Amino acid sequence: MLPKYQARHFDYVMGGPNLSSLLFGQLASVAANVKINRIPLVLEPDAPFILRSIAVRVKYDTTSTSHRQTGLNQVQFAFTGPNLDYRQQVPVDAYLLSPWYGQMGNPIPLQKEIVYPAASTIWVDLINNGANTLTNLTFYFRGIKLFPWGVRPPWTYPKKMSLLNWTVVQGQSPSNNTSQFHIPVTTNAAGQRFTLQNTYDGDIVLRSLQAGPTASNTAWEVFLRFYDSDGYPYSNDFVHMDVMAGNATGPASFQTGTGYQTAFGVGPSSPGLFYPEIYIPNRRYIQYDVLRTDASFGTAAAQDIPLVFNGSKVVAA
Amino acid sequence: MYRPQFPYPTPRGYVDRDITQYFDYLTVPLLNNSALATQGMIHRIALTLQPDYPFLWRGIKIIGVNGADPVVTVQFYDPSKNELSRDFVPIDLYTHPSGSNIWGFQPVPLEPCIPCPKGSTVWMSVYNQTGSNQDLTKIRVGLFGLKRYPAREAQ
Repeated sequence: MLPKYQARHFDYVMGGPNLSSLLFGQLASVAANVKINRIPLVLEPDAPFILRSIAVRVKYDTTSTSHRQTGLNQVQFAFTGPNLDYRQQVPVDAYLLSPWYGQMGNPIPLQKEIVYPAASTIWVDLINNGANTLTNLTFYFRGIKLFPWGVRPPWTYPKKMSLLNWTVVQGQSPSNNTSQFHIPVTTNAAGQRFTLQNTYDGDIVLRSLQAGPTASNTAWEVFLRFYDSDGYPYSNDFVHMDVMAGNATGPASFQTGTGYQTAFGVGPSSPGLFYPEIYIPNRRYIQYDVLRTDASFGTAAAQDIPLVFNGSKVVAA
Repeated sequence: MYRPQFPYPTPRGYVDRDITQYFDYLTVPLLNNSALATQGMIHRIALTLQPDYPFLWRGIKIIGVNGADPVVTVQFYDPSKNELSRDFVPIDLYTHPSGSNIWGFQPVPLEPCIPCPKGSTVWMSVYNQTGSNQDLTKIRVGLFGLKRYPAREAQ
């Protein structure tokens, strides 16, 4: 029996270098000891949104060759439900919620999901409590959109079938150097639309994602945005690959007191999830764009950005 | 739409027990290669399972050739030689279970579970995609899952 509505993975992004920079200019550069109240994130009008997890990040520190998110540990924030009802009594430290701030594919779960009607608003208050100016401070709100059946393609499993583990790699060339996936330092995603086509002779289902260079990493600000084959997106803007996916050698290092700590306990054993899973019938496909804004990093170089999708083949009986 | 994880109840008359099937250069001769050349590939290395009872393969861990920074790519095949990936996959993005400094976390789950007949073989191909030789003697492969015993034979 089908549930009442069709659920679909969706990420709302507030901040960052792309479309959100136009809407949330005050997050592009947050000076030290600044407090900003009531930043509105207006949700899209096509479907209600169920918020289930969150993440926070800032642009990597350009003064270091390491992947450091300096100053993120000094961010305090609060956000509201749909009726301007705050879910924190006062802005709370982001690091109080998670050591990796919900990044590396492991967003901070909410104990109870929050239902937002279509076109409602999430309001965010924030304080930069530290001495660093924060660049591209970004809040991610991850959950699902709910659609009446028939609005989105309702593909699902055949009644009789079996499954086999299946992994698809995109963005990796055999020599690790030459391919269309060798992403330049500055990459505008306009019109890009890489395609992940189901070339298997049956259906496949995608459940999780890992992403990022593994041998030598000269990529910092790399963002992904996924779309159905008809162009309908899975997020309102680009999501950083460390938030969307993560990987075992995820380079992000987070400030802890006076030092920095690289994320651990992440990687393929706890990958970034597509929830609900994405079902791709035979010969159908999904699409994605890659946005890279690494011009301000002195050691950045063109690089393959592999994406590893995990899931199953669906073998009809 | 919502779908719960697949349940794997133990059939009546059987007992399931945890088992780790472990492979390295001491038990797998083809991994006794300290310098797999750039662009070098070893196709279908046999990881032969124990012959006594069926193995229900549910998770995997690999630590790679450089210890803290594995850089080779792998492709697995189930005992029926079905590919488990469309191409070679970097270990870091596939089977290496944690941050680069620690790999002692939970295994990478396989869903659905892969039933392996007793004494069957799982196959692993290795490809060196980097620009330098790689030492396969540092590869450690752990296949995690259950052995399924007839209840009358379980002690």
